[in-house]
Amino acid sequence: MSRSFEDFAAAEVTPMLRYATVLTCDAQLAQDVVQECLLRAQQKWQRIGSLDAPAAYVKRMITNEYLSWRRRRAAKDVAMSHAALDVVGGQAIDDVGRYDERDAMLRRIAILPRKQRAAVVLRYYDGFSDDEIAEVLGCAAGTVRSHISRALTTLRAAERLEEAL
Amino acid sequence: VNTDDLIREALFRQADRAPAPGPTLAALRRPRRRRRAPLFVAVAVTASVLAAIALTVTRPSVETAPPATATTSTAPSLDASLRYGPEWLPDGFTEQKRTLDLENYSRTWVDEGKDVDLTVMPAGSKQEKAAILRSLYERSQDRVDLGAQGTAKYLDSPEPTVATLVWSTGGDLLTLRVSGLPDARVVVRQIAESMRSDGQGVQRVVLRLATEYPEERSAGNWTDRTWTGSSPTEWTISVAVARSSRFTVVRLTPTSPDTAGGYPVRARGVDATYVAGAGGMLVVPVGDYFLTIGGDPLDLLGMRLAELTLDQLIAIADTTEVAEKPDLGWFGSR
Repeated sequence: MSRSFEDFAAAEVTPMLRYATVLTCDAQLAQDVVQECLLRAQQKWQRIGSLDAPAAYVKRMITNEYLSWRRRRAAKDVAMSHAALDVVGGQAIDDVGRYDERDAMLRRIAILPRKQRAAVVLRYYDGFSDDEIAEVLGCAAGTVRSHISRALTTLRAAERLEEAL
Repeated sequence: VNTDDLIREALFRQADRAPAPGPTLAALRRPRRRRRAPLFVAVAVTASVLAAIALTVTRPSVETAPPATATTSTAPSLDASLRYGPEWLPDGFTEQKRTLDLENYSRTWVDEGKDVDLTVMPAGSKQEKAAILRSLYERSQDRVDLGAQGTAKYLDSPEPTVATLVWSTGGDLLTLRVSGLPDARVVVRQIAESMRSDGQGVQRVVLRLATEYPEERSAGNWTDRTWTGSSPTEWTISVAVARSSRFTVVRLTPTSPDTAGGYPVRARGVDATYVAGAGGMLVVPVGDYFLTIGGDPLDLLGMRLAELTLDQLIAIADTTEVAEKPDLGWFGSR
């Protein structure tokens, strides 16, 4: 018997918010996306709750919502703004050089095209294989490899550029 | 720090900035919740950002520390039944790694850069990877008949030296991957055809922390156990417990890691050594072996080591259950 939506939401909302925050690079947008997806899941819980892994299904909803044209228009890529990162950046703990490196990398990740960023998040945050990422993104494994390869090229180039400046 | 590690660390740091779940859960409980009023948005966002910042700044470092009491021996068994194993492997392969989490186990046989990996997910696994694998299985048209074991399917391979077969037997989901062999597709099929499902072996848990997370695995919260070794005298048994994307690693080894620069402390009622540094490291002799808490994080998705004080390291050492006479005979054997 599947668990109730309330139990599901209580157990999964934190990992979903964490995933969405990494995906969107924006806590506000993450909350909006997760809330929207959970509301839709709530309305269709009879079907979603009976799936093998409802959390995986909702996670795909979150990914698709983030990649959707509605979000692109509505957000105007606000997630890419460095101001958004600074607002939620917890600057009080930015007093260690290593942390600055992470934030610099995060800013580089934030300017990647969305599908590249989603592929990078699924690879490095979730530890997914090419096949698994392809399943979530609804594309071929070869396309995933292309996304990640291009993303890494961009990130490394930006890293070298910043080091040279 | 290489780029891969930096990406992982950056992403996990960003995850720590996630908003608190309260406003989202509250919105789900409201009867008319399709659209939120602008004022609510502003209040909720402000509250969640403040909560996120507060959590980030004030998150107590003791969240990975053990409770004051020791674990009880009445905890449920975490041992895994090793039902599945191949009867045939190419010459030269020996078993050198096993991993175990709350549901799944995997076994790895190695021969000079060539690997055979078997992962078993039990029937009814709710893990995301299981759902994804089932979906990949259903979509693949590249099928092979394994006789009594049913139909397996090849997954797309990035190169000809790598081949992966997935199949379901008795409800369990098996993934067999061969890499480093020029005829990987043929070999993986031969190994799959020889797979037994009536093995009597049991992988007994050697280390058990008081902080293990009993709930369903989720991003940032999990327990993984790993056994690696090429022989009964060269091995590492470790358990990694992650909570909120910070993890604690405890390892058991037959020899002591390098403790140069360390100083003596007491733990588990014996003389131990504490080495300060990134995360700190405590090394405690336990019988013929050495228990190490902290130190090198190994290859754990780049997650951050919990920043533990010496007192917390000692508390973990004191409350970690270490099995007597761990089974080491399989390291480096077929």
